[in-house]
Amino acid sequence: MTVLHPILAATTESPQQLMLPLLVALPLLGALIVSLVRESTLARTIAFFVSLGVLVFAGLLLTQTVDGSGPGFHVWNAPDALRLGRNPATAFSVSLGADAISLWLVALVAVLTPCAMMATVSSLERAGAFFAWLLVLEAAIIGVFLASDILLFYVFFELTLIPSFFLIGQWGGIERRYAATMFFIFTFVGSVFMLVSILYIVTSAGTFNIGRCVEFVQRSMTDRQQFWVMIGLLLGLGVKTPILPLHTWLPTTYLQAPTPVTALLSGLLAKLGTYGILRLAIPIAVGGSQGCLIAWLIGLSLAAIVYAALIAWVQKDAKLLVAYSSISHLGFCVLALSTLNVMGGQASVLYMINHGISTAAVFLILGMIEVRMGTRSISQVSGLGRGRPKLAFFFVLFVMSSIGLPLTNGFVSEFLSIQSTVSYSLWVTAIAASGVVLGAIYMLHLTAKLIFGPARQPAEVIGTPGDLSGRELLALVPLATLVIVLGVMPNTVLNSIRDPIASIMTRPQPSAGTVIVEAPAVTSAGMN
Amino acid sequence: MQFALEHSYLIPLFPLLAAAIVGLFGRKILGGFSHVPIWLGVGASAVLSFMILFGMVGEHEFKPAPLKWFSWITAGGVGNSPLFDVSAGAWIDPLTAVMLCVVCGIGFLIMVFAAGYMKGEQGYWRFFSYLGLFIFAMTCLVMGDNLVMLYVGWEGVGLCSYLLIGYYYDKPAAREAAKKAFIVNRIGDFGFAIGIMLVWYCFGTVSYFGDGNQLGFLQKAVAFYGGDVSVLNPGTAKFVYWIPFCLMLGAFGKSAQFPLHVWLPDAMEGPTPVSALIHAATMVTAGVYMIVRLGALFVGNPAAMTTIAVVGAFTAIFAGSIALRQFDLKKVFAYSTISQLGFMFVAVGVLAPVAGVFHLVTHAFFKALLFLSSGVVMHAMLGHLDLRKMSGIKRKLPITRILMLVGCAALAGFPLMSGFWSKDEIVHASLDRSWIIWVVLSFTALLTAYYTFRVYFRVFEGPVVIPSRPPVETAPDVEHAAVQGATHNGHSGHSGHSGHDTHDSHHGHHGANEPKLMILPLAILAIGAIFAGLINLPFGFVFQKHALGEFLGQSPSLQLAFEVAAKNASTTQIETLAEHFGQPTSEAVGTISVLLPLLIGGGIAIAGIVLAYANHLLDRSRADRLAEGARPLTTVLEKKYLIDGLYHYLFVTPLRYLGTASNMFDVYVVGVFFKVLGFGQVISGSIVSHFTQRGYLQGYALTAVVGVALILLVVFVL
Repeated sequence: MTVLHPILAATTESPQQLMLPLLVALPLLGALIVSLVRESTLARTIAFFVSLGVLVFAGLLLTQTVDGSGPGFHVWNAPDALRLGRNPATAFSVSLGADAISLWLVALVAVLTPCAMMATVSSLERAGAFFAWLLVLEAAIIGVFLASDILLFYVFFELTLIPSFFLIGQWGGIERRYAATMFFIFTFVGSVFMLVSILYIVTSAGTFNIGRCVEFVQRSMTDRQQFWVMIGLLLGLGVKTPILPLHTWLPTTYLQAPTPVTALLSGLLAKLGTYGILRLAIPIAVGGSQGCLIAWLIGLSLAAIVYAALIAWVQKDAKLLVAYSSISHLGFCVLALSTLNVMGGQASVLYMINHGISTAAVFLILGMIEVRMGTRSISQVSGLGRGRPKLAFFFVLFVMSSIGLPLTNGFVSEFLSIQSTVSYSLWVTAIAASGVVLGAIYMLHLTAKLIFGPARQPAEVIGTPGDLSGRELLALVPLATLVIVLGVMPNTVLNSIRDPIASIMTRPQPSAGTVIVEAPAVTSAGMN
Repeated sequence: MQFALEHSYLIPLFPLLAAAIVGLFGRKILGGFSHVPIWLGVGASAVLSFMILFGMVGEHEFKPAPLKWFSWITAGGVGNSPLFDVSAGAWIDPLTAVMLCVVCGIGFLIMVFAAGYMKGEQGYWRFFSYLGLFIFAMTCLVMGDNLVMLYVGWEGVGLCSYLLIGYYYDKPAAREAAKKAFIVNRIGDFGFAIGIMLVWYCFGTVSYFGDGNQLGFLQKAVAFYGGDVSVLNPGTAKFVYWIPFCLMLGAFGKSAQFPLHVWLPDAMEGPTPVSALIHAATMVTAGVYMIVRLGALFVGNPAAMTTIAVVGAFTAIFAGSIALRQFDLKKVFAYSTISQLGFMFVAVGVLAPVAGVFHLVTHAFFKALLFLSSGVVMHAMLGHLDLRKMSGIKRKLPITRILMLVGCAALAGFPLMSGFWSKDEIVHASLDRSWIIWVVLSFTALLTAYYTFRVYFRVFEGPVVIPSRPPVETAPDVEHAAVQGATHNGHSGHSGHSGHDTHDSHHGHHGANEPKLMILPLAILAIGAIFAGLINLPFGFVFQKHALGEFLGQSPSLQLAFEVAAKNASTTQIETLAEHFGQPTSEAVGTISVLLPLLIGGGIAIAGIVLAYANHLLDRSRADRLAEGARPLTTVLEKKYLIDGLYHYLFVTPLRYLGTASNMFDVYVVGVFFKVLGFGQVISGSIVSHFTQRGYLQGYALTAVVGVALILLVVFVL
């Protein structure tokens, strides 16, 4: 079976293709409008409906791809006028492409953003700017997932920094400026390394197309070149993910960011890293020449799973606890990718989606608790379940999803992630599986402290704060539904991403001559 | 039966729907009627289960077939990954039918009881919703046709157990017990999960018996143990040996076998019906079910079987001895449950799965009866369960006294009671394998009779002592008490006293100590506790000889396991083996060999009861003198062999220290390293201050633009 890299192959022109640029443009346009609105409720409403619109478009594209009625992948190229360069093969042109992997992740962005907006407190200062930045962030993240051009990928990847920086630095906690700086410098320095790698690839390959760049690295670079390229990419992508030990920025940043933003940072921004690893770094290793790097990746993932879980367990701050749990979880995600087999790839993408849902949900609900209690300290608050059945229900549900209880979404991805390592080494499997026990330990510790136990609240809190409000339910119910739906029907995701994953995980054919690939050039598809 | 088989999915679905309805509408709308949907749902499942059971009994040769509900997880299958394909589906054979009837049937009775017991509780709806969810998970567990379904049910019942132990969630003890139960079970599930992955890796499927086109891993295991390596994925033969060990870790966790037994006694923090349903009759027997179900995989591995038998025997005597020096009714029965589960593990370990399932069934009756009767006692005694605080209460609770007596007699193995037959079958079967295990089990049987009747004689007979006030918390939780005082917002019923499920009779039925709604299900359980032994007598009476064995023997699980076992057995052993696996035998076993063990077993039980009578009714001070005489031993028993403390010092504390150390390392080494390396000293001097002066954003935007321009430049020059 000769599987083309999906982004390589062009499809015929169709109205759906216009949806790709729309997915990026709509939130940007919305941001422009929202930034002019002063009134907080109105800003939220507009932003919410804009993000709902994005959700509708993403949903339309995704359904067609999943049920097979539409094309397996979509490509859109900017009109000629925007093209730079004379030679079509090397010219830079804005081109977007989406296969099932991209579309699922875009759908994740489209779901989480409105939920995060709904979870934002009403009393926010300068709400217009806040929601505008959220929309910019959404556009940038979607852009990364849709970019089929390595330069565009890089630009969007960097672009996510700006809204995140402002969201953290302006609406964050007490140490927000420090956190924003740290986040910024880490990610930025990381991406400098990535930039060098990308630069090297582009200049050697003479093309911007991601698919062809990857093909070139796989076939025409020596092992040594591949090694350094991959190191550069991993440094950039690894900061974002994060891969141990590049995670230092994460606890402070997650802690200081306003909770809806933390939800998006953990739910979406982290996925930029893993997505990039899947698209750019993994194909280099699939050839089998980078066994040493892969072994390192596996080792670091295992270390992250255990180490971060242990740290999570001793945290006093609920948000820090979940932040470290997120590092531990992403260990599974990278681990599954590093197995370089199809099951691992499928597991990892499913993990990205599921982790996005459940970790974001846990962060959102922690935010709701913080609003009520004015603290996140797990020693100051307890017994929240008393008189608040809805809060308790959603909290326990998301915790169960996070620790991978069967029939919630977390189970399938965690189980498959671990299972995909069996063929690599049983020791790896055993260590990874120990993360399942540790996960239960720290998450149930959190639940026991916050939800169970005698009712207690800080002295400053007046009265008894109530159960979840309608607005808060609006943020959590969609996520809770997805937790169950994806737990019962994971095949919707698994089947649709199987072929794209298989094409990534397939060892490239040894190159015969100089002809790299015979595929319709993506850049020329938009000419007519 | 055909209807029930075709619509097998209804069995888990009804309780799930009921649970959802109660969960959604219980609090505001259903209120005190929250039990109704659950009764209906579980009742309907019970009816379907019995339809299946009777249908199978009626049919001469029942041929089970897999029933696929929907395709659940499909991964791999292209490129470099083998296919992993899991369907949600059922496998219904005699073993399933028996388990379903125990789960739904006894479950239903307990729920009828619970409606009376929990009346007036604030979380009434929550309680019943959890129970419905539990029956859903448990039916999935016993019905599933593959290992992943088993795991789903396994963890599902774990969740319900967690929620129900923590039902009185504002009590720190209940909260800790719930957490402990979940985590200890997770340690078992760690092994279970790896076992499943290895099964998939070696056999290429997790389905027990395949789907008609493809063989299941149990059939492949038979072929493998027969010497055919080609059924395995290439190069995986060396892993097959470890699979049973991984899986049994899960079984030890769920069935509270040593060393993972520590959660079950603490689980008594849950309301009493929960202890009866989950922590005695159904959930904790899942480990036994697993090993019987996967017999073919286990039996071919003698080391694994020996391990199971040894662990079972050790747990039996270990827990049985702890039960001697417990003073709390429910704690005594909890340790007794662990001990009896040990018996069942011995049964499956010594290649007598029928005896194991037989004991599972009878135990479900009499242990549920004992727990629920303790619940009635607790109700009437204002929440007391300490057998030192009460005595001679038979006059106050005459019916309960009879029920309790029946339950105790059955547990003690008093001749002709159900427990007598099933326990004896295990003890007898163990003799075929090892006389040491036989001695251990026989001695444990003596202990069982003794501690059971110690409870009975202490509580129901003798001078009348009835507590007049609810118990005061023995070790008051200071913060708890303070907070209760401060933020006590009108929650009635259980306000944090008593060391137990804090259930007292403040609310509801003051007048009636023995309400009909609670006594009726108990009476049915008592009838079962007396007569359940009839289903598998060693001679023909009412039913055929070994009727249960013959019925279970039609299950492919037992057939395949027998096939494996028979390969290693000598011709003389095969007859006994066939009987233990419910397979047809050619010659009748002599009367002497049936009678003698029964006489010994009965004698041991009676001896235990007589001893208890002498020490706990005739002269109660004698028991105390005895305990004082052997003070060190008594202390060790009362402290439960110090296992909890040991685990705390061996595992919890070091792990906690490791966590703290990792945290320090992360903040002060990794964090500082990066700050110093790149961003603290070197760069802050140049770039960062550069940034700060002009604002990060401009600096950043500038750099990004320069970067992009650089790329474009390079490309165009190129």
